Parts: sequence; C-alpha cells; structure tokens
Amino acid sequence: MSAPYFTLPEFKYVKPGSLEEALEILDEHGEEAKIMNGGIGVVAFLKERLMEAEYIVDIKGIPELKKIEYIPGKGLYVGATTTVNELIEFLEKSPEVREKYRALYEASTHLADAILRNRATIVGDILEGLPYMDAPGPALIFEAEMHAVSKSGERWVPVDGIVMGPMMTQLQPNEIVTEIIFKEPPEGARSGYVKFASRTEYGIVNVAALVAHPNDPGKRVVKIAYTGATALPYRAREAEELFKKPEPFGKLVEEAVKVIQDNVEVLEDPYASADFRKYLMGILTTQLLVKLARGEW
Amino acid sequence: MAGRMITLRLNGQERRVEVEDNETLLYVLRYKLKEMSVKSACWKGECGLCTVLMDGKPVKSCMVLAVEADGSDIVTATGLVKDGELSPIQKAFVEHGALQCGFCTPAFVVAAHHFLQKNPNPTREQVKEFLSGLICRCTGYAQIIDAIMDAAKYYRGEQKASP
Amino acid sequence: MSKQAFKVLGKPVPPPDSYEKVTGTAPYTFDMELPGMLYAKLVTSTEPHARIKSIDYSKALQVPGVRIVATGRDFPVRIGIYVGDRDMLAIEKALWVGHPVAAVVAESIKAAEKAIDLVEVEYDPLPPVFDVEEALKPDAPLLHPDIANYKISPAFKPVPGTNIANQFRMIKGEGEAGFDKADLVIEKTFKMPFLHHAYMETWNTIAHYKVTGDIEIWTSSQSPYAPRYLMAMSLGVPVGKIKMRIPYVGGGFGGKAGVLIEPLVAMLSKKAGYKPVKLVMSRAEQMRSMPVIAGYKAYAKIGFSKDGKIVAYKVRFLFDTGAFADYTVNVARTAGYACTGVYDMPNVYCESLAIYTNKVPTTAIRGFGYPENHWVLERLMDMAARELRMDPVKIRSINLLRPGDPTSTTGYGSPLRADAGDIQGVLKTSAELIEWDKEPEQPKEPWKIRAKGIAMSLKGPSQPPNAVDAAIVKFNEDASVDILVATGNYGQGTVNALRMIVAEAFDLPLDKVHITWMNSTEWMPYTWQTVGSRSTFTVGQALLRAVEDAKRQIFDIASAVLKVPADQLELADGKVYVKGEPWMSIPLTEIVNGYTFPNGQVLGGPIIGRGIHSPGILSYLDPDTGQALPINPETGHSEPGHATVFYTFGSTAVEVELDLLTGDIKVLKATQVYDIGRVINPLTAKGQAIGGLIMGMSRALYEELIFDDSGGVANPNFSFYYVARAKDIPDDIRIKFLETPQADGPFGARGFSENVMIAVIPAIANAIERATGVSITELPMTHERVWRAIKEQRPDLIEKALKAFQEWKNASQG
Ligand SMILES: Cc1cc2nc3c(=O)[nH]c(=O)nc-3n(C[C@H](O)[C@H](O)[C@H](O)COP(=O)(O)OP(=O)(O)OC[C@H]3O[C@@H](n4cnc5c(N)ncnc54)[C@H](O)[C@@H]3O)c2cc1C
Repeated sequence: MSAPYFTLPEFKYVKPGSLEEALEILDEHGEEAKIMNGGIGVVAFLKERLMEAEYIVDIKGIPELKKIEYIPGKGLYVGATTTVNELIEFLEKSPEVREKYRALYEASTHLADAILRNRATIVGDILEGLPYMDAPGPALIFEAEMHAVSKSGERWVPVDGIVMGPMMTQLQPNEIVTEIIFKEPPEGARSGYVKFASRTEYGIVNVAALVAHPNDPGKRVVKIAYTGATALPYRAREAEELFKKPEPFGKLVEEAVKVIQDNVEVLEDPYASADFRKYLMGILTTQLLVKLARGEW
Repeated sequence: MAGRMITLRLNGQERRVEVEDNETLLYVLRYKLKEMSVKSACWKGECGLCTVLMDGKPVKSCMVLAVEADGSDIVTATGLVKDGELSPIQKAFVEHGALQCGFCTPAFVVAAHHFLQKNPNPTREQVKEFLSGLICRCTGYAQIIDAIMDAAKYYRGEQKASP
Repeated sequence: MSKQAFKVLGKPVPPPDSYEKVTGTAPYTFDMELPGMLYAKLVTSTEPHARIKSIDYSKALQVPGVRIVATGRDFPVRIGIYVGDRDMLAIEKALWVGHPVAAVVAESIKAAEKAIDLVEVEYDPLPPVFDVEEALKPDAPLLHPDIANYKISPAFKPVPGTNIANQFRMIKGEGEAGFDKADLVIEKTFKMPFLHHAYMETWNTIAHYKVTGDIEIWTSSQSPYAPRYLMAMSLGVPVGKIKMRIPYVGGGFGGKAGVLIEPLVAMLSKKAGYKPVKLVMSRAEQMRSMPVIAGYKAYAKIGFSKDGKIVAYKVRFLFDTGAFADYTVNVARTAGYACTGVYDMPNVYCESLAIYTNKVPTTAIRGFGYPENHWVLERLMDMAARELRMDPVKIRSINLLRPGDPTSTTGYGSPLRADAGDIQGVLKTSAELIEWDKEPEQPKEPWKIRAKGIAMSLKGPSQPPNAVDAAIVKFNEDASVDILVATGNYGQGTVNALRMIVAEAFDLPLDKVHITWMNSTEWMPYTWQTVGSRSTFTVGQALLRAVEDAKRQIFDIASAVLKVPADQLELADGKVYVKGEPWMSIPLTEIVNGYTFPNGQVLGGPIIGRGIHSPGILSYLDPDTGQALPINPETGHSEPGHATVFYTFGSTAVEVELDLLTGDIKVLKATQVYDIGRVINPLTAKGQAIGGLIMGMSRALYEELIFDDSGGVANPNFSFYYVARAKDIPDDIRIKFLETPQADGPFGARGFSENVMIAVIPAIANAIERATGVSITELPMTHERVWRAIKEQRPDLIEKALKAFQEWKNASQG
C-alpha cells in the first residue's frame, strides 16, 4: 500500500446492460477481464499496481443484480451490486429482518465508512479477500452462499472457503456472482458483531457470533467466525460443536475459547502480535457470546 | 487510448467532456472540468476530501471512474451557493469556526449537507459516525460537529435560511 | 492593562477567508495551473544505503510526452536551514528507501507516472544503520562523511566522522552531582516514534525558471522568506531574483517550515527549457520520501527531596533524524535547552543528540521539541508523585518556576520576566476545570477504570536570536487599511488576529481593514518565518509600530491643517479629532493621500506606516554549558540573555476510561487552560485549543510510522497510519484562557497554538499511572502496549480484572 501513483494503468471499460452480455465478455477475455462492482477494491488495487486488466467489466448496469429480498424460512437475498448502505437502509426499515441478521447489520455499519458504503458492496467486500474485511464474518455464521453464473452454467458456492487471498477466489474468471443468500438463522437465534480496531481503519480482531437457546442443550446452536485475526475468514467449527454438550453455557464458552485459541493460526503484524490477537479473540468472543445468551447484546 | 464523451450535470449545469476509461472522476472534475473545490489528500479513499454528491449520494470521487459518472448529477460545495448566498450549512461552518486551513472544508460541507437532508434530527453520535470517513487535521472536529448540529434546524424547517 | 473596553478584540470573528473556504473557491497551490505547465514525478530508491552505479532513463524518455529526466548529477546541491545536508535528488548515494534519485518531467502526470516505472537504477549496496544507538558505534556506517564541508548555522555542532548531526549539552548548577542530595531518584527510558504531520494538502510546488534568470515559485509553504534565502544560497542565484508566492495553504504543523521542494522544481523548470513545472507529492511519497517527524529514545533520571522538591535532573535525548537532519537539529537542541519544562531545578545535566540513520529524513513539527521533552518530564513528575504519595497537582505546584524571581531560572539559567504569565493560576484553573478533587464515577464493568490525569506545559518560539520581522500598513482612498505582512496563513487564524489588532489600534471597523490571501516576497516585507507560535506576538508588535508610524504621519498633516499640536489629536471612527473638541475634525479620507487645501495645494502624500520587531533580548547559548550568553555586555547592564521572546504556560487535564482487559483507553473529558495574555479572537483561539487537543490525543493513542526490514515506511497511508477521526473525540471539552498581559505583547497577547498539544500526551498517560500505578513510557499507547505494560507491572490488576470478568460470565449460567 505504498505505490506513489495518482493515475490508473490503462484498461478498457465496458458496462454490459445484461447478464448475457456480461457473461459473453468474460468468456471471451478470460483472465484479461476483471469484474468491477462498487469498484472500491478494484480501483484501489489498480492504483497500487497490484492488479492488471485489459478489460474492466462494470456489472452495475445489469438490472437483476440489484435486489434485496427476505423470504421467510429461506433467507435474506442480497444482490451482488446492492450497496452496503442500501442493505443498511433496508434492514433499518424492516426491524424484524434486522433482528434476525443483527450480526450482518452491525458488521455493515462498521464496514469502511458511511461515504464508501454508498459504493461498496457486500459481495465485493467478501471477494476482495483482504484479511480484515467486515462482511465475511456474518456471511459465515449465516451459512451464506453466492450464486455464481457463467455461460456454462450456474452454481451456489458457500462463502466459507471461497476466498483464497487478496483478490483471489475459487470463482472462475468467467463467473459472475449475481447474489448472496444469508440463510435463515435457527429459530430463537440472536447474533452480533464486534470490530476491534487498533490504530488502523480495519479490525485486528473481528468476531461474528450467533447463539440460539443457550440454556437448552438439546436445541442449542452457536456459530462463531472471525476476520482480522486470521489470513482468511475463519469459522470456528470445532468450538461450535462443543456447544452440543449438555453442559452450562458459561463453561462451554470457556472451553470453546480455549479450543479456538489452540487451533487457530493468527496473523502477526506491527498492529498486533499473534499472542495479543489470540488473547483478544478470547475476551471479545466471551463478551459477545455471553451477552448474546443473556439477551444483553 | 481513444477517449469517449460523457455528459453530466455539474452543479446544475450540463457539461460534456471527453474522458479516458482509466480516468477517475476526481481527475476529470479537477483537471478537465476545473472544479477545484474537489480536493484530495490520499487518492485512495481514505481522507474523503474528494467527496462529491453523485445522484444525491456522497461518494469519494477518487474511487469512481469518470465513465461511470456518465449521465449523473454531481454536486460540490461550490454548487451549494444559491444566488451568491451561502447555504445554511456553509454559514454554520463559518460561524462556528468549523474550519482552519480549509482544505478539507468543501468535502465536509457537501457531506454534511447530504447528511442533514437525510437526517435533520441527528444525535451527536450519529454526526460523528457519519463524519468518520473524512479527515480534518486542523480543527479536531468539535466545531464541525457543533456547526452541523446547529445547521440541522434549517433542514428541519424551523428556521429560514436567510434571516 | 486591566479590563479594557475593546471594540474589536475579544469578539468571535470568523476569518474573512472562511467564506472562500466553505465554498471551495479558495485557491491553493494544489489548484493552480500555469500556461504550458509540465508535471514532474519522482523516482525513489529501493535501497536503504547504496552507491548509485548508474541510472538508465533512455526508455523513460521514449514515453510520449516525456520532456526530461533529471538526476542528482544535474544539481549536486545540498540545502537545509540549520545543517545543509539535504540533497534534492540523491548525490551519488541513496540514503534510505524512498530517497528521490531521479525526476521525470512530462506534459501530463499520466506520462510522468508511466515513465518513472521505466527508469532503471543500478545500486551498489552499502551496510545500512537503522537504530540511533547502533549509529553511534565507532564502526557504524557513516551517512554523511563530508559533513565538515556542509553549510552549518552558528548554533549547531555536527561531529565529523560520526553520525552525530548535532550535539547539545547543558549544565546548570552542579549538574549530575546534584543527585547526591536526592532522597528519591527515578530513572526511566522513554520513546517517541517517528510521526507524520498529516497536513491535508501534500507538498506541492510550481516553479518557473525564466530565461531572465528570475525564478517564480508558487508553493504550499508556511512562509516565503527563509526558504527563499536557502534556495538562493544553495542554487547560487541572487536572492532578489526569486519571487516566492504562497497562496492558501492546506495545513503545515511545522512540516512546511524551512525549504521544501522549491529548489528541485526550479531546477527541473530550467532543465525542461524554462517551462513552468509542477510537482505534487502523493501521500505515499510524502510519508516515505519527504521529511517527517523524528522519533527519539531518552534516558532520564530525576531526583527529589522528601518534601517533593526537584533537586536534580539528567536527561539524554537521542533523536533519530533519519537521513537528513536539516531542521531536526534544532528540534533536538530545543528539546534539550527547554528540558526543564515549567519547573525550577537547581541542578541539571542535559545532552541532546541528533543522529543520522538510513531512514526517511525529518523536520520541524508543531511543538518543536516541547512535546518531546514534556513527554519525559511530565511523566516523571507523576511517577514521583506516586512514589512520594503526593498529589500530582501539589508536586507540580511546589516546583513551578516563579516569574519575576531572579533566583528561579530555566535550565539555561535565565529568569522569567514578572509578566510572563500566571503559572500557578494555570495549574489551579486546570485542576478546577477537571474537578480534580472529585472522584470520577466508575463504570459498572469492574474491569474498567476511570481516572483523571493532569500535565503542564510551556512553549516559546525557538528562533535564532536575530530573527526579525517587519510590517506595513497602507491606506486605500476610502481610508480603509491594507495590512502587508509575510505571515503565513494556513488556518491558524493569525492573520485575522493581526487584522483585529490593527482595527483596534486604528479604531477602525473590521471591514475597513483588509488582508490578502496571496503572500509573496515581492510585496510583503520581511518576516523571518511563520513558525513557533511567534507571529501574533512578533508581527503583532511590528504592526502596532506601523500603526503608530502611520498615525504620526496623519497627525502631522492634521496638525498643520487644524493648527493644533499633534499631541492634542486623536484618531477614532475614521476621523482625526482634536482631543476634547470633537467638532474639530478631519475625515481620514481627506488625509490618506495628502490633504488638499481649497486652493488645490496639497500637503503630504500617501500614508504608509512601517514597523518592525527585533527581539533584542535573545542570545546564543554557551556551546559548552548551554547557559544563555549575557546580553548588553558593552552597556554595563549585562544580564543573562533569553532563548525565547515569550513563554506561554498551559495545562491539560483529562478523564479517561481504561479497559484493563483490552488495553483500550478512551478520553471522556478534556480540559485545556492557557495563559495567553490576551484573547484576541475567542472563536479561533478555541479552535486552536481543540485542534491541538485532538492532535495530541491522536499522537498519544494512535500515531506511529512503522518501518519495514529495509527501513522503509511501511504504513504511508491513512488506513494504517491512523489519525483521529470525528468518532474518536470526547464530547466533554472545556477550554479556558487566562489573560495575564505581557507588556510587550500586542495588547498583552502571547502565542499558544503549539502549546495546546504538548501536555495532552503526558496527561493521558498520567491518568493511567494514577489509576493503576502502571508507568507507560513509550508512544503511542496502543492497546497491546498498554495491555503488556499492565501485565508486566501490575499482573495482579489483570488477574483481578479477569476474575471479575469470569464472575460476570458465570453469573449467566442458568
Ligand atoms: C479507505 C478504505 C477503508 C476501508 N475500510 C474497510 C473496512 O473497515 N472494512 C471492510 O470490510 N472493508 C473496508 N474497505 C474495503 C471496501 O469495503 C471494499 O473494497 C469494498 O467493500 C469492495 O466492494 P466493491 O463492491 O467495491 O468491490 P469491487 O472493488 O468492485 O470488487 C472487489 C473484488 O470482487 C470481485 N467481484 C465483485 N463483485 C463480483 C461479482 N458480482 N462477481 C464476481 N466477482 C466480483 C472483483 O472482481 C474484485 O476482485 C475499505 C476500503 C477503503 C478504500
């Protein structure tokens, strides 16, 4: 993040008006074409000369990519080009949906800033793949999947595992994500999000968690995911499993934290050591889970 | 690289301009349309000094391609002046001492204008949260927040713009 | 000067340029373009220390639109305000990752940016040194083996054959031997990181080298004269040929003092065929390649008697100047001579070194050595208070300097004048404002603590003893006044304050006093520099003398016309009156261009007043002992000289909340108290106090330039070099000014816009010290640093917090 340039490298800009047209272009140009959504990540990477493209394919002209729809029992569908602010506005207007997806709502209001959120998208934020993004955590705890379409077909790709690194994903160069679904959370679930930033714009530890029926081991569900602390978004599945045990919630939180701290491989950088990140994961996760369980979040 | 013509409304005036695909909106506003009220201090989305209203919403113009602005309506701080009169938000900035070197001021003013139009009854917390995508190194923000809280009355319609 | 009725002073007057600023129509150099202007861009070093073997720019020249490429060979000049060590483009050796080694000039910025990628530089690496203590070792690689041949100003002493750019020493009383009398001795090591000023407008300059040999410059600089002089010296151009023009400036904070890139751009303009050239720094270039703020390590030791009196103080500052020391030698020297802060100390030993390393160079900064030395001293005061079980306010109070008492002296041995300010009053008011004696209300989470902290500060302008200023007032036909001063206007409110001073002195309404935005050596009279919080005080005095001068001319004419002696005349409301006979008057409009009698005969001509400020009382410090050299030796009235023309006293107090679990510090409340002699404009004074508070808080909690393994700045952006945003500021900010006038200040005023940042930083750490007994000595106070400090020094506190956290957690078990 230290390139000196004001200008962008050369590329051709195309703005297809339909999905078919867009897929055609991608198919024809392969790796030479890069999808641009809100463009925050794409323009930043171009400016840093961390990305090259013959073609920049702006997908904001494709009508069906812009949508927000909540289908009870199935989940919340967010179009690929729906901006973070549009999502926030939708959730603020529909309090029941917002309560179901509290972690997503909170992460969205912490993502970048109020001005960038007029362009930034949830799908773009996840696919940009930097370690400290805010959208992937909630996506993991809501078992989100992206709908990827190409000329040769379509598929639903789980967000868990989709990102391999900065601007690197499991998607094919000719695939366009049209929407993302945040699945219906378990009945009775509450969720929340903590962003812990330390002299950076980004979090050094971000925790997304969901808790349902904390005190009823038979029905209890807990989901926990992290960004900021790890190179890639991290879903703490082993820890989540623990909560199936018929033991008091508080005790399991302690065990879960230990399992997470033992298993996770965390980042170490000038903003926080690995030790401190691990320790913070413990504190923040405990706070979030306990407050969610108590209905205090 | 061949340029292409785009048309946009800049502060109410229709402007046609030839742009290249890899030019940002910031670049075209400043160097082709000579709209120098749009500043920049980082060129990568951090400082927010290149903020303009694009179709009614604030965007950081260094992160927008100029071609994307084809057909759009752009408003800058200069555009808030009506018939030689400062807008209420601009007056509030002056009266509250909400500026020092002034380099960030056009961005704060135009962003605050949008914010108050949407939310004429803000809390201090909401103002602070909203402003956090913009950097001002001189003022320490307090007087900016005061100015915005004070100007809100005009947006609520409690007070007429020109006394 | 008790409560006076002022017509203009003391009113919250927005600076007139506010109107241009809110509409975005105020022109900065950043916005300026000249006909035929070309654009420059720098190529920078990828090596921390290396001999430059070759630079091949043939491919760069092929890029359409590229005019020239220049390297250090083209202008092998060194420049610098105090130590002339800075090259414009690397001369033979690259000294840090980011060092400009070549510059491309092209018809468009796009072409220039394309071309820099095609310049191929071959390096022969030399061993680098990144740490000040390593750099002091006898076998350390030398950055400036030729320093003996550089231009050095009188007060500075580089040590050839070492990496020491300047060495300052000060011994007062018995020096170190004073510790013999101490009952309590505290020894600590302190650190401050490299910082970035983060002015919003990056350095940028347009230069037009003309075929006539005249050089026209438009630049984002704090002041026109000192940089022009340096530029002329280094380029070997007659100084009068250079016209330095400064339009609106987007912030400075010391980072635009001295000479910036003006000589480089001028030479590029010449080489490009006498075309105007513009060079604008990107933020990354600004933070990696252009001067930033020096970090330091300081070894400090302080001794107290049982009753809390300071008996001895020893401090050794090792300032890391990076590759060029330029201005930093004086920051380091100032940190040294003012190391005793607001306290009276009998015995002092201080050493302050400015040391070269292979890192980004450094320069002046708001506060200029005072935030640096106060971070050490004001922290030690609280550590001592804790050890001695004394109240931090009390221990300060009994050690404060006593203005007017010749036995109470600064570290360099000069007493303070009796009207220097109410130092005890500042401390007392500060304690009152923060409600020092009231325990803060504790939050309900037992792992969080709220606490109050306090610190004091003093600040005076660090200027050479012979820094002088001039001012001119002239009249327009409507008897309105134009003020001509070369004082930089980058948002501090100074020029507006000067306007208010002139309006008051002339008894004219404010709208009859004009200032202009374009500062230039062509029409503004000499001012040394706009730095050091000095201009209201020094240029203000020059202006008052200019007003007197103009009035004398006006009264001379009026006296002849009204046929009364000049001393019976007074000026008010735009008229000259005979005292006590207000019906006998002449409108000023009939005098300002000479008085015309009914017969057409004219008396006198245009009225132009001039005034100067000459410090007089300042002297150099003795090179061996750091004690002020006596002034007026030849008059027989010899007395110690002074290092500053005034000192302003201040205090910051805060209430913070500390989360023991995460190391999070939140400033909830902050108070600022300064004795500024006279509040000229409460609106902009408040603005300075708040701005400084938040800048101080930002430095205390967030800011640090981080270096990678090759010594390059790793976070040259605002995502990772975080500066305070709106969401970080406390809601409860209380500001109070005391007004103990200083006789020679304009209407009693002293400057204070750097002071406002100094005590903030230790006050925050002092609050933590007070609440937890944990001594934080390194900045910034990041979460992890604070958490580690608590863990190391008070593991019991973390244990207790974790236990409380555990209990809170278990309370939920159902
Ligand atoms: C100053 C600053 C601060 C920031 N702070 C934060 C922060 O605090 N938290 C945070 O999470 N983020 C932060 N960001 C990052 C920002 O939020 C992301 O860059 C943004 O959300 C990306 O979304 P976008 O729509 O702009 O994606 P784009 O930049 O358009 O795309 C990003 C990537 O996703 C791919 N892509 C996008 N859409 C699709 C699609 N439909 N199909 C296939 N591929 C696609 C693109 O090809 C590209 O590789 C910050 C950015 C900046 C500049």
